[in-house]
Amino acid sequence: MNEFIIAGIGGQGVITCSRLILETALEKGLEVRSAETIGMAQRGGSVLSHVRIGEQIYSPFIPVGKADEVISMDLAEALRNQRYLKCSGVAQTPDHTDRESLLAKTMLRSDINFNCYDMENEWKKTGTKRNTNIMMLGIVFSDGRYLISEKDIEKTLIKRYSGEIKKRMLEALVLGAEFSRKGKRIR
Amino acid sequence: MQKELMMGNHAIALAAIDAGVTFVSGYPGTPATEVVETVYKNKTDDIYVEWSVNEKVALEVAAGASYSGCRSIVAMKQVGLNACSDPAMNLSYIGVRGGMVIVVADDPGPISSQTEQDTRNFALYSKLPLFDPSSPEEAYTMTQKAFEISEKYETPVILRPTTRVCHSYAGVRRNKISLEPLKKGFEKDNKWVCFPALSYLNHLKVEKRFADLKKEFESLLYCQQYGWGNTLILSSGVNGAYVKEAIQCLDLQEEQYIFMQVATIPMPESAIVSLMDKIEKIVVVEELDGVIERQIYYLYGKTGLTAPRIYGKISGDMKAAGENTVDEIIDLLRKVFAIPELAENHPGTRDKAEGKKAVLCAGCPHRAAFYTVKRAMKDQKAVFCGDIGCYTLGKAEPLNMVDTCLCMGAGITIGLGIQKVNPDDIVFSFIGDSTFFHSGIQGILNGIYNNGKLTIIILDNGLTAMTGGQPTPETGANLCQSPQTVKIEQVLAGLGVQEISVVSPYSLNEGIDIIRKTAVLDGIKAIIFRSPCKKKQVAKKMVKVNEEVCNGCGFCIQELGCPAMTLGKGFIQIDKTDCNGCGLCTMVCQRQAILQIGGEYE
Repeated sequence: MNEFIIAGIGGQGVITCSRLILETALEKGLEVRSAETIGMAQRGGSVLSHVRIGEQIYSPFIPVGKADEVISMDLAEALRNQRYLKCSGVAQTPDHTDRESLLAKTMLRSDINFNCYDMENEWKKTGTKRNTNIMMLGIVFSDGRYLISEKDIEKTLIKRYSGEIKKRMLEALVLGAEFSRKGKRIR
Repeated sequence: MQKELMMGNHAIALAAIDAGVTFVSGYPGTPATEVVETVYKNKTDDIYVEWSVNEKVALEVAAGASYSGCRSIVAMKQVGLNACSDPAMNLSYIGVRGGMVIVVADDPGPISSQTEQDTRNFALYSKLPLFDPSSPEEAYTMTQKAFEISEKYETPVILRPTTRVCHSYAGVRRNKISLEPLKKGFEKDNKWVCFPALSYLNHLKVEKRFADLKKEFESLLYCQQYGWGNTLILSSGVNGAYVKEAIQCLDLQEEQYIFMQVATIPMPESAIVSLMDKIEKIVVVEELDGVIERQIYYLYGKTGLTAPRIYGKISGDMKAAGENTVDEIIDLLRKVFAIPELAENHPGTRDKAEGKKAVLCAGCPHRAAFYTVKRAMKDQKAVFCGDIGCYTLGKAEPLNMVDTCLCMGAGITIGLGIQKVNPDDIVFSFIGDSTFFHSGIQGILNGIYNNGKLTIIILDNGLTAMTGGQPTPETGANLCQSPQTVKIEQVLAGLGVQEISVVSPYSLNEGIDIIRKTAVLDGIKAIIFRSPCKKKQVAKKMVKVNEEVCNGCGFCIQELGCPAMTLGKGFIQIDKTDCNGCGLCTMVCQRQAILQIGGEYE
């Protein structure tokens, strides 16, 4: 079973991100389960999706200390949810200008990988901030560690979207895959 | 059929369609909203769908359809059941003809509700049968079973998913069931009229029905027992999934436990009774109230057997409020089965960190309206009664403009009450457009009738925003009908409100002026702040900070708390992706450092 925590602030595409993983996994014949935050919290509050794919999954929730990866749209949210990660689990997040002060406030676990990606320039250059969620998927699924791959997600994007939106999403996915090679690992 | 990805609410809606539902109504409310929306998106021509103005109305229109031989589903959140408990209770006596499923979504946590009430208690109170699904898959099959039971016993059936079923995704296989076709048309019959003499006879029928259902539910698939040990584990709803996970994590063996879901009300008793003298411990895992646990105590009392150690909410072994987690259930089962805790092998924090709280969106017209009233009433003794919707977030600092919030429509009536006993206070009631139509109108009528004094601020953003932008009677364009629109000012005039103004929330000075003039008048007065929800806006006017003029005093942030604004290095920064270009900050800045320069964001 692969277990992902998708984290962010309402409006950052957390729910789209989790649904793309689920849809792709179901298409591959895997069992899927998720729990999502919908409603009041979506007004700019912290939003969290638990996503589990594989077989014999009972609960939609990932217990604390079990997640393979925290996929976050925001550094503060990645820090906040590190408790879900298993030992040697990975947190992936865009970097933040306030990184040092955020890290000063929250103790980073020593038994996880915390990867930050400097996306600011890319966002400015390509106007892809809205598609950060898809870039994060590119980062996570490009090296074939999990039951679904970036190529599988690409198929779902092609099936689900059309026109300009599809084009931008596919570009973001490729960008993400490139980013996965230049993550800035903190500790 | 192939498995489709769907959340619990989709599963309920599609199961209803696959069971031949033809009449669907409801009022939006998290976590139930997607049921009605999903039927609408997947409907065929013979299915009628409406957003009703409130839950009481939704249930009653569906009752009319059901009397006429239509299968109906009515969906609401748990507090909606409070608003329609009158027809729900009476329908238990009167009964239905076409199958009727009332979907009432409970919200342990609560995640987006005012209470942690447990609808299973209402089922026991009204003696309406209830299904309690543990997953989207079960939500699907139970919805279909509920229609079957409803028609067999001529009673509405409650389906009670909780948030973690409603908003949980899984792969679900659809399956059309063929229920007996119904004869359409309303036939006159005395049974549709509730008279005391008939109600006495109906009460007897209701009691018999409840007893019969107890037997009927014994044979349900959901009551399957796992294991053969001497500790009985019982669960309600999604907790069943958590228990299975906990059993797996702890590697409990089948000879150690018997696990059973209690998936219905009435609770099928005989299976439990037959185990009662053999088991040594009982664990009851449920959220909200100890409904199953209470019934277990009752069964031991009734049978005269000595109860074993029971671990549940009433016994104090599980927390009294809030949502359960697998981790907590693991901890409980460790205690029950005397399994020692493993040494902590992941260092670092396991503590829950406080998340970011929800706020009004950047550019939200509600922020502008609240701010206008706040400025107008600066240094005055004013009370601000709030209501349910996005605008409850007006409570948050720096606005802090919500002094009361009770339930749908109560902003107006509480305001009336406060003013009657505090005649020197200036009392305001804030109400959104959808809440106005839901249950605000009655309060205003009462204010006119009883000579109240109140300034009503109607926050009209043209939709039901909090639940995702459903239509209101004012916008028309409801689901299946051609658009009929009802203007709020016409309703107010019809109710007898003499002083009605309409103003844009973004005309700060004009708004302040109107509020000051209106607040001092006697009687019931209304000011409508009208501007569409920013979630629906496409074009966004650009706002720019003049970095040479801005001195970074932060006054705009302190006044407005707009999430698009942050204090950068010596000046204000505006996040272009968040900013909706409302321009309120340009009116607030005392140095005119923020400007609306024309043009739109890309």
